[in-house]
Amino acid sequence: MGKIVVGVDGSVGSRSALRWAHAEAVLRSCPLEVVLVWQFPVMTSLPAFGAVPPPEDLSGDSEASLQATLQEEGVASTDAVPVTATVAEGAAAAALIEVAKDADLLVVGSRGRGGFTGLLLGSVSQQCTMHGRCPVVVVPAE
Amino acid sequence: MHLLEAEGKRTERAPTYALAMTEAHIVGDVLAAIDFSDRTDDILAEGLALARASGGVLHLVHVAAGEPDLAGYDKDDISPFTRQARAGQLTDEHQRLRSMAEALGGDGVEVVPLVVMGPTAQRIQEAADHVGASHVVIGSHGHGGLHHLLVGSVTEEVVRHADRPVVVVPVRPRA
Repeated sequence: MGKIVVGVDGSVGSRSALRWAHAEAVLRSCPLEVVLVWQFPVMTSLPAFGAVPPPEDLSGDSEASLQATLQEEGVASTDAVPVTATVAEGAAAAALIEVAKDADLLVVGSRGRGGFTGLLLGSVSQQCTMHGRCPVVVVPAE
Repeated sequence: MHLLEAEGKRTERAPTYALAMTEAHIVGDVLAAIDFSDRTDDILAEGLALARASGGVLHLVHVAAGEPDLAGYDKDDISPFTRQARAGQLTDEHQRLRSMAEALGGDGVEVVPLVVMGPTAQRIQEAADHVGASHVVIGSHGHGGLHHLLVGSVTEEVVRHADRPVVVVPVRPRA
């Protein structure tokens, strides 16, 4: 049986995606994998000595915030719908596509970055729809 | 990439919440945008899965090109033939979509075909509004790089302007 993978970054849009993915997983009675992707911060100048926290600390923070999001949205494991929380490091779209390569659905929020900014920056959801190997659901913010 | 796994925690208010979400989810049908390309089967399969899960109707929508605008001074001579050919094409598309819907129906999901004409992305959105679809299923045309940069894509436009979840089905072969 397949699974549904959803990308979560704590934004309002990704919460809509999480709610949608959870409801769909309940309807289909399939496992749900909630993925938070974090990235090393980009620095344009050298930080003061010792200012960069070791990577373990950042992934720990990510995991804590992921668990908090799950709790706030009432997404919990049941027998029919086992929920897995995964923290991955890297570029968001690439990491999500990798985790979802055997999934039934990859669910992401549309950040709703319209027009010119979206065109310049690209977006995670757009990269997922272009390069994903499984069907990608783009959920608009409510 | 580091992968750290953690078990999902149980919360007490989950059941009522899940139920409420599921009910909200059920309202509305699924619209699948059909262009008769090679991977149409994948789009249909995805649409069926969604419609079956939510108990809604699956609307198959094909957007045909609009009426041809003819430029030139001998337009009166060409026009009837072009229009006739176009009409034949439209009839053919209607037929294909209807037989597609008939082939899918009877599997517990009601399938309704619809052909509309005009600018594709705009018509898909209008059709979704019209039938009250809660989801739109569409193929990712998968034109990469330069083509994408120059032409843009219908799918991108639909995703960008949609106010409902859009399911983008990859049209490249799975790796």
